[in-house]
Amino acid sequence: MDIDNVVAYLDKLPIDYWDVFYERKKIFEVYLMNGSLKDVQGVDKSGVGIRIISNGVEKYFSTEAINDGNIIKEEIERLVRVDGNGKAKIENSSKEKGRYTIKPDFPEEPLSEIKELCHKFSSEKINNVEIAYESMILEREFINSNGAHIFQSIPRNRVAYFLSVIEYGKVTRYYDAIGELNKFIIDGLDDETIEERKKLVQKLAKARHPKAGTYDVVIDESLTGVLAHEAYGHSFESDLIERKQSALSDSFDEKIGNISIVDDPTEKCFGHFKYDDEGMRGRKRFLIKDGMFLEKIENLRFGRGGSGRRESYEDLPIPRMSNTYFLPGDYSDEELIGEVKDGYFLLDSIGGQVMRSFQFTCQYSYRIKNGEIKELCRGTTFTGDVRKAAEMIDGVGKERIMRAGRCEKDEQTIPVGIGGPKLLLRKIQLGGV
Amino acid sequence: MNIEKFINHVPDPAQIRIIEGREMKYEYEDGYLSNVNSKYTKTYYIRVIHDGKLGSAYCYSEDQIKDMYEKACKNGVPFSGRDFPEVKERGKSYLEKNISYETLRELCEIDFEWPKKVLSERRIGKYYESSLSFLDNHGTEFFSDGNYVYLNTEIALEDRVISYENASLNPNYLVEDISNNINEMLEVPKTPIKVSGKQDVVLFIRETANFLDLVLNGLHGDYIEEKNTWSWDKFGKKVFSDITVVEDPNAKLIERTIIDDDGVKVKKKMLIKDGTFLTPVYDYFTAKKYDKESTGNGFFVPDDSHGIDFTNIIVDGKEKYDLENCIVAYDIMGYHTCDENSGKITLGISLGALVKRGEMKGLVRDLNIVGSIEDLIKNAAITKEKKMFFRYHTPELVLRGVKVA
Repeated sequence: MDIDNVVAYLDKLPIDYWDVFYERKKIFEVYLMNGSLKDVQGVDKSGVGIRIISNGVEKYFSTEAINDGNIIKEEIERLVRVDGNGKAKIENSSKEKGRYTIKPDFPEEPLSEIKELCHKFSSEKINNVEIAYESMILEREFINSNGAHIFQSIPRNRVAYFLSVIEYGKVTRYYDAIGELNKFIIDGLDDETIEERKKLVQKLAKARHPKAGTYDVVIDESLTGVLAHEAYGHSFESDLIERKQSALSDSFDEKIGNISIVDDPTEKCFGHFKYDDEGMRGRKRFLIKDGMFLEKIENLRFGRGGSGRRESYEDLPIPRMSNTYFLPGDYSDEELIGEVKDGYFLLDSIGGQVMRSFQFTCQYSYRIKNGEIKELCRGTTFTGDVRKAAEMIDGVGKERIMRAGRCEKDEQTIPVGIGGPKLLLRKIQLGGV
Repeated sequence: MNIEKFINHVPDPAQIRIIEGREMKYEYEDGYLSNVNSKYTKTYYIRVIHDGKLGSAYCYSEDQIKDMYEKACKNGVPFSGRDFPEVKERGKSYLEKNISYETLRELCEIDFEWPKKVLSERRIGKYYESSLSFLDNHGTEFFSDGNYVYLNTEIALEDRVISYENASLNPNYLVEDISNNINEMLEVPKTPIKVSGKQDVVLFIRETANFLDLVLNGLHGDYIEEKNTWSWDKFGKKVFSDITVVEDPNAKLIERTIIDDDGVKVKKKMLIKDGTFLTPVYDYFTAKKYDKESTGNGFFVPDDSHGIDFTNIIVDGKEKYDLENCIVAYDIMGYHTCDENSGKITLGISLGALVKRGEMKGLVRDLNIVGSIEDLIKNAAITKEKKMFFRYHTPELVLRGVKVA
């Protein structure tokens, strides 16, 4: 069923709104362990999602059977007949017309480069080296009943590496994942960084755990990014606010510390887009400025749109972040560390989660005593209340660094950018031994 | 294209798995139908053994099968096997007649009459139906189909959000299960209590399932052979207290099946007996690589050429725990950051209740558990009552003497 037929068919239906989302996804994935190929896949996958609004209900059908007009018509007609007096509506939908393409600058199937990377990470003292590489080119076309017609093509590539050491029968593992839009990510891993990581995992195998307790901590940019994204970003998503599920639901009129957090899809980091997945132009938003709440992250269903994203054509767009970060401040790294009498420097996030509280995990840390970095320690967890965390921030570093990430919400995983400068936090609860 | 004719004429051993699926989702917000989401998919998944490699590809129409076959021949991982398993089983239907789009919508519209004032309620119900066919060079065709329903309820209160989900072959069980579990979580007091030191932590059924997933990942043969998991040297040893874990593909839970994604018959088997890890599990590919037999645990998504997972899991044990003095952990964060290879765990209890003399005395939150899977399970116990949760039929796990901070 070609696009003109779909449009003509939908225009005749007794519905309030419709949109069509075509997607083609070209993926290449490789997984190596200790130099031997464990899995390799090249996928070229297409599908369509059709959304209609009728009787106040948002109705959606998706399929890969793009050319099977009968299946599409049958399902849409069945959905139109679904009764229900809901409250869903889409106002001010997109009228944009445009084409936006970023050309990929990475090889289509870089098997030899990945094998070479695996070889560089290998050594006698590293028991296991695993490399998982993925490249994806997402081509998306969006059309709606308001005349919008957008085509957008964005490439991304990402590599995750896992290094394991076995010491006294126990496995210690270090993991990192980095990503880029169109630049080849493996070019960004220089020999110095590789050697540094190999030494780190060997030292971690012998390092002690931090002691549990309440401390002043400095967190690196990866943890700052997770804090910006998980603790604050999600709290500003308009669907969660509408459902009173936001961790900051009753705090939007109050000052939240002195922090400033931005979400910006126009920045060419991992969460970049020009148009969101409802055809709305993306723009930079100040979520919080100097502690005051300014803007929500909205799709069209729950607001003015511009942040409606979806994992694939199988999904409805929901409010999602793009590139989310703390704005930098005035402190140098030395000044931040110098502020800590008894605490830790926490590095390398492996993710986090937020309900009303947050919990983040770092892979390694350094003891800080009287403003100086001391011994290397293993990773740990720190937790806190989302509302109180902002007041615990007592120093903001000068240099902002962005990292590639992945965000899961409502069973949809999308690429995002997260980051910021280093932060100093007072009296944080650390897990440990 | 005649797929059977095609597969019988290709020169290499090849296998096509056809999965046809429908998913229907209803979402309600505060009693109003908010959205309806319908999916239809038919995937042709091809694997081929070509030139000493196992290659795979997938597509969504028969017209693309020849191209996908050529693609699968081009890319592959080294494989010493010469053929795919011969699928010997005849087809079996697992369709439950009491499950339909209508029953799903009825489930979503039930008013549970929660005893406390809720600020909002979101209900998501899903209906899943799929069918599976296998074709290979032997000309074998196997057919199986099944369906089940899923229900998720999230309610926002003034000071917290409570959610619970489950999937079952029995819609009536789901209704009772959601009502009981959410009502239990609603009883958790508002006033926080500080807790530290060594505690017994009872994992709520959802958290028991999450934790068991972590433990069972330690039985995957591929990581064990590479010594890349915390459990690599634990087989034949008592590791998990007195707990017994059985895999039963015939149990009336959502992962019922006869054969795995390789075409190997899945047998009921004991995985852990009285705490002793018995044997690793293998898919066909990993088994061939390490000169072992497949245990029928080859389950993987189309994006992978092979993989290991389980069907339905039944758990039991000898030592039944009385919930007298403990912390009940209803919501735990941090599973996705657990290092399954080293076994290191850092978890945070975001919603829990302190129980003293069998009564909830206070709210527990922001409590960290740091340790290792091995240390946490060596002293584990179970509660008396068994519950069905997704693919699990299990009592709740109790991690005894856990240091919390």
